[in-house]
Order: sequence, then C-alpha cells, then structure tokens
Amino acid sequence: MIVLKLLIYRLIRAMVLLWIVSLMIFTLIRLAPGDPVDYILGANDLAIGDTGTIELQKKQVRKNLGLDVTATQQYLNWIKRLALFDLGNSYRSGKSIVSELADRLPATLYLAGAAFLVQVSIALGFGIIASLNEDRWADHLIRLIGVLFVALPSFLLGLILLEIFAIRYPVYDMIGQVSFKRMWLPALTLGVLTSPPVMRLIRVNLIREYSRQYIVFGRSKGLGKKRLVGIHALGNGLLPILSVFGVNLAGLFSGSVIIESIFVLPGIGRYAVESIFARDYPAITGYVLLITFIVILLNLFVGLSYAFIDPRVRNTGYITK
Amino acid sequence: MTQPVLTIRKLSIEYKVSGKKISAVREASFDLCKGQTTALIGESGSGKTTLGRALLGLLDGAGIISGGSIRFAGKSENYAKADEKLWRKIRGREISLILQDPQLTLNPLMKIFDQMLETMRLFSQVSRRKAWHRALALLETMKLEQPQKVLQSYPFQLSGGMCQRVVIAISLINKPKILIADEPTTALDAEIQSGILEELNSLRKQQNLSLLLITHDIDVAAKAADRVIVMKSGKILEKGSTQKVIHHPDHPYTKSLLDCRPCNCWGCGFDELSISTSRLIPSKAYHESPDDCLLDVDGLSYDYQVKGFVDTRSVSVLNEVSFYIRSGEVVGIIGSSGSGKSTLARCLLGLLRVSKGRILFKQSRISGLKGRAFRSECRLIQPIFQQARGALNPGRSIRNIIREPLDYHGINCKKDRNRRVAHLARQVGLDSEILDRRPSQISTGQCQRVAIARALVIEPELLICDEPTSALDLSIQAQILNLLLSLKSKLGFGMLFISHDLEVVKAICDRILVTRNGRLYEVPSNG
Repeated sequence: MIVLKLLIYRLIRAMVLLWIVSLMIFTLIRLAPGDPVDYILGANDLAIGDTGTIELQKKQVRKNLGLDVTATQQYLNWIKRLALFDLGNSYRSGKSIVSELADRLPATLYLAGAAFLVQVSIALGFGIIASLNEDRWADHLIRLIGVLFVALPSFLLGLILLEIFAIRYPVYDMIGQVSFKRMWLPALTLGVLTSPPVMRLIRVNLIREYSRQYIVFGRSKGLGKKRLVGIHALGNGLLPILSVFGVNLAGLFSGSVIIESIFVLPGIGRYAVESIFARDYPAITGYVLLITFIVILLNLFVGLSYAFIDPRVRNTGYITK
Repeated sequence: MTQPVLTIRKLSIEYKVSGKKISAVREASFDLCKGQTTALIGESGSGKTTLGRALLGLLDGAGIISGGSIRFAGKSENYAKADEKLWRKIRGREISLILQDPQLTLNPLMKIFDQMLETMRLFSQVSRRKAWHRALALLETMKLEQPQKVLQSYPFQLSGGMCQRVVIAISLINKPKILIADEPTTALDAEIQSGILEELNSLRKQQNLSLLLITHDIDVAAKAADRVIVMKSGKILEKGSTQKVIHHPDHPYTKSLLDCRPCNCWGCGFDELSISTSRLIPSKAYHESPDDCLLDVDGLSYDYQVKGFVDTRSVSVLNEVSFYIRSGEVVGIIGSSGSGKSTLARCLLGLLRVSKGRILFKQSRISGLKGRAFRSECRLIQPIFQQARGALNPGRSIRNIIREPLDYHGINCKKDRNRRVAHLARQVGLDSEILDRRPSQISTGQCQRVAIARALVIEPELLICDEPTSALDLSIQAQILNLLLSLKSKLGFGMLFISHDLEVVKAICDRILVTRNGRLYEVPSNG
C-alpha cells in the first residue's frame, strides 16, 4: 500500500518536473545567440542572390519551421505535439526527432548500462578490499590508483586504450553494430574512470559499519568474516549509497558524450553535440527532455528500491534511524 | 568454591595510538566459576569493557594482548595468544556476549528469525522448520509475548527490552558456558532493567552458566552478583564475595564508590522508581500562581511532525503540561525515556516551538516570541545538557566558551569580562590553566563544569538542567550535584532538574514532578 502511494506521488512529481524542464529548455535555447535559419540556408548553399531574395528565402524557411509566430505560440504548438509523443522534425534532416533519438538511444543505453556495471563491480571489489585493510599498504595503493584515475581526463584514457587495443594489439573493432564486441572498450573506459569516488564511499561506509555493535555481536556468535562483511556490513553500508548510484547512473548518460565521440559510437550524446552546433532547436529540446525523463525514472527506481531493501521504509514510509 | 570455567592470569592489554602504547588493562587475574555471577565494576575508562572484549578475542584493531593468559576449562591452549581461527572455534559455543544497546546489537535489515537461524546453522545443519520451532521455544523461555510475531519482526519494531531478550536468546543458542554481559541494562528504562536482570539470573541457574556482569552501577552489582571485582585505571583493586566487598570494602576507592551513591540506604533500587500511576495526581492548571513565581507553564502541548515520503503525521509528545517554579526553587522532573521530559526542556528553552499553551517567565509571555525579542527576554534562562563535551564548541578555548554569552549580549568591557570568567572558573572549581585549553583536552567532568560556568556567567535566574549528570561516573556525578547545590545557595537561581534517576532528584530537589506518556503528574507530599 505504502509502496503504491509512493509510486503515485513520485509519478505526479515527475510530470511536473518534466513540464518545468521543458519550459526552461525552450526559453534558454531561444535566448542563446545564433539563428537556425542562417545555419540551414548556409548549409544548403541556398543563400545565393541579392539581399531581397535572401530575406524572402529566410521568411519562407522560418514559416516552414513554424518560427514565424510568437514564442508563446511556438511553445503551445510544441506542447500540443508533445502530448501526441511528437517532438517535431529535425531542422537538419527533416526527419522526426523521436525516430532519430530512438535510433541512437540503444548505443547510449548499452554504454551507460555496461559502464555502470563496470563501475559498481570495481568500486565494490576494491572498496571492500580497502576497507578490510584500513590504513595498510593495500588501502593506500588503492587510494593512490583511484586518485590517478580521477585526475586522468577521460579522452586521454580513451585514446590510450584505443592505441593499445585497436592499433597495437587489434582485439577491439572500431566498426560495427551495437554489440559486446563494439562496446566493451568504451564501457570499460567510462566505468573505470567513474569508479574511484564510489569506491571511496563504499570503503568509508563499510569501515563505519565494522565498528557497529551488531558486527561485534555477530563475531561473538561465531559468524565468519565472509558473512559478516558480505551480508551484514554490506547490506547496511550500501543503504546510504543507493541514492548515489542513481545519480551516478544519470551522470554516465551525460558522461557518454565524450566517450561516444572518441569511439565514434552512434549514441544520443554525440547527436546532442551535433544538434547544438547546428542550432537544431527541436533536436536539442528532445534530447534534454529524454535525459530528464531517464534521470527522473532512475531516481524513482532508487526511491522504490529503498522501500524494498529497508524494512523501516517499507513498513512505515518513514525513515526512523 | 566450584570449578573455574575460565582462568585469567596477569592479563595485560595495550592500545596503540599513533605509535604510542597505552596500557588499558594491567596484569588482571581472576576466575569465572560455574553457575556464578561475577560483577566487574568500575567507572568509564577503567578498562572493564576492554577486558570483557578480550575474553572473546574481540579487541578492535588497535588493541593487543601484551601478556598473561586466558585459559578455558578443558582446553589446553592459552587464548591470550590465539588467532582468529582458534577464537572462532569457541565463540558462541564456549563464550558469548551481550551488549549495552540491544537495538543496535541486532542487524536492522534482518528479521529476528533470520538472525537466529544463521546462529543455529553455525555449528549444525538445521532445517528452517525445525529452526522455527526451536526459535519459538527459546523466545518463550525468555518470556516474550507473541513469540511468532517477534520472530517475523525487524528489530526496529520491537522495544528495547524485547530486543535485549532476543539478544540474550540468540547469545545462548549454541549453549555457551560463559556469558559476558557488558552493561546489559544501562540503555534500558528502570522498570525493564530489573526484569532483564532477573531473567539473566534464572537462566544462569537453569543452564549452570557462568555470568560476567560488566557494569558501572554498583547497585546492579550488589543485587545480582555472587562475587565482585572492582577496577580502576586498568587495575583490579579489589575482588571477593559481594557481601565482603560491598559491606566491608578494603580499598579506599571502593569505599568512595559506595559513598558516591546519592542515597545511602540499601535496597532502594528499581522498585521505587516505578511509582505506581494510581498514587500520582495529574498536575492541574495553576489558576493562581504564587507571587514569587519565576516560571509559569500553562497547558503546554507539543506535537512532533514526522515527515514521510507521502504525508506528514503528527505525534503528540507533550499533552497539556502545567506547572510553576518559584524563584530560587529546585523542581525535579523525572520520567522514563520517551516520556517527553527532554522535549519539555527544549520547549522552555525555545528550541522547539510549542503547539499549544503558554509559558510565562517573570510574568511576561515568552512562548511564541521569535528572534531577537526571544533572545533578550530569555537570556536569564540558561541550559545545561547531558553530553557535556558535545555541548562545547571543540574549536574554541575554554575561556572563549565561557565568555561567549557576555560577548554576545555585550555585557561590560573586555577586561571586566575576562575577570568575570576567571572568577566563575574558580567558583566552579576549574584551574586557571585550563582556561587556555580546548574541550578535547579536558575530562568529561571538567567539561560539565565549563558548561555550568557558561550558563552562570550572565547571572541567570533559571537553570534548565537536562540530565546533567547522567553521562558522568558516579564519583564525578556527586561532585557536580554538590557544586550545583552550593552555587544555587550562593547565587539564588531557580532550577528545573530533569533526570531519569529518582535518587538524584530526591537528593537535590524541593519538589518532584513525574512525566509519563507526555503528561505531567505530581507526587503527593506524603509519598
């Protein structure tokens, strides 16, 4: 019952949030300098002739794009179409934004999902090792390597890995469809680079749990280290980090922009960058809305997962710690 | 004397703190005998908890056993030198542990049954069904009502007393011969304390357990133990039968411990604390308050708002509380934890906004005042809290801490302020050299003296003391209480003294009020 109530409440909040974001992005984009009409005319080499003809052409294009009415009217038109899940057509290709995004989404989803798995496994593994060796050489070594990776720009590691795995020892294939063969290297790059902060967080949380009374009591009962760390400490230690996981996964979507560019992946991150350069209003708005939707969805999922994992939330809806 | 099940000889334990070795236990020797309760008493920092943990090989990272021997009956090894592997063979089966805060002793994310099941499965194969029945039987022997429901509950759904019974049941699952109980009742209310102690006692008899009861409470030790060991600064000062140690103590420290108890009569343990509700009179609204009324509280209610994901619910903490304090009077408020006594203090100090009712201080209304108006009206009401060290800013010197109220209210020039600080420090018994230290560099008792000095520095007319001595050791508790009383008679301020300890309240208060479930009651004068 409480979980259902929570779900409905969160969904309503999500709708409101989406609406606010759509309004913001719609306004911001039009405040930015640059005119999509200029870009289209320039790009298509149509701007030949005297100024009068150019003005006429501009007027024609503006009318075609629906930019000849007031901004308010433009927003209303856009919202109307959005209600029918139509994000409009791209200024560049003329194709529907929904289908363009849908074509590119799988690559980004794959990348972000796989990178998340890499990130969590590395963070968990090394976080646990570091926590068990608090203040000993293993802990210090892991911290050092972590700092190194955080300091490393993502394009640099990407290029180094490409140099090694695509050119020196060509085990990675730069061409091809979205598949494991194509995705493992970019996912590894993104996952490794984003894991150190999560790893540190897991380490600190575990160390704090180790000194808790229930761990002392567990040891006094005769429980072994594996069960104490793997079941008792990890369960309690990961609770406060769950929300960080949600935020991180969302971050991986935006972090994918650079990785997609280096590894030439057909994802929405690269699409967004190209759209921004072309002042492709509907495409940018569509991208931002999609990302917002994904982030909201992830947070909703994290919120619900608390209810599933923590009995205190599940049974009362309240956190009573 | 019966056969010892555990023999400890010249056991020394050290802690390594930033390269330096600090001795925690020095050459402790004693035996634990079959079917007997041995009490280990001492103030905090005496090494009693460290010693108890060492008997299970549970010293944390920095602690090491530096010498001596721990020998279990029937085992040849010296466990003072044992590694984790050897310890795991006897933990739970030979020796077990229960701890101070039962709710923290259980994993909050696991149902009670699962925590019992994992313990049963440690040394033998048990089916879930069989385990369920055994768990039920165990909880029944622990006198838990609705054991089936308890098994399916999470720790947060049970009360502290229920949790402690569950913890005891779990610790005895694999039939250990020795049970170490580290302050098993300290975190519980007085009424539940005695029940748990009785339970431990009857289990000891039934299972012929050897019980080591670690406590700071000499009354608990006197009541429950056959033998008593007194510890201070890591050394065992005195050991012997309870009769001898309590009634004819040899060591001067034991004598001073006994003298420190606020009330010197024997047997005034837990029974008197649970004053039956029928003898209490609900406190009425005082329509005519006395002329020299300092604080007048009328119909005060406070509702606590719990914010959830979805909605907000409100819990009534204080319900129509009315009372008054005359100037120079000491009024005690007593009640078990959760009865609303601390909330009352917070309302009076303006730290919480009251939901209903009014508070008059020197005939002017202070409830509902905000910001600057409140601060100037109420500066003559000053608090003293339980956690003395926590109430002091760790980054400032003691001198600055005591002077801060004067600085804030802009009283006198700087030179006069410093003179006043020095004068007050002397009055509360602090050396002048302490004034330049920081809170982390002085003892807890000294911290509480600093807190008192800070409260008194602007000459308040009312002190609100919320459990000011509960976190202190007995010997220091007596010093602080005497200090408060002597300062009161010198400076003539009124006091609201909140405590869960009837003895303390009786010793220093003119009148006593009782909180129960958010309501306030008076104790009839003949009671």
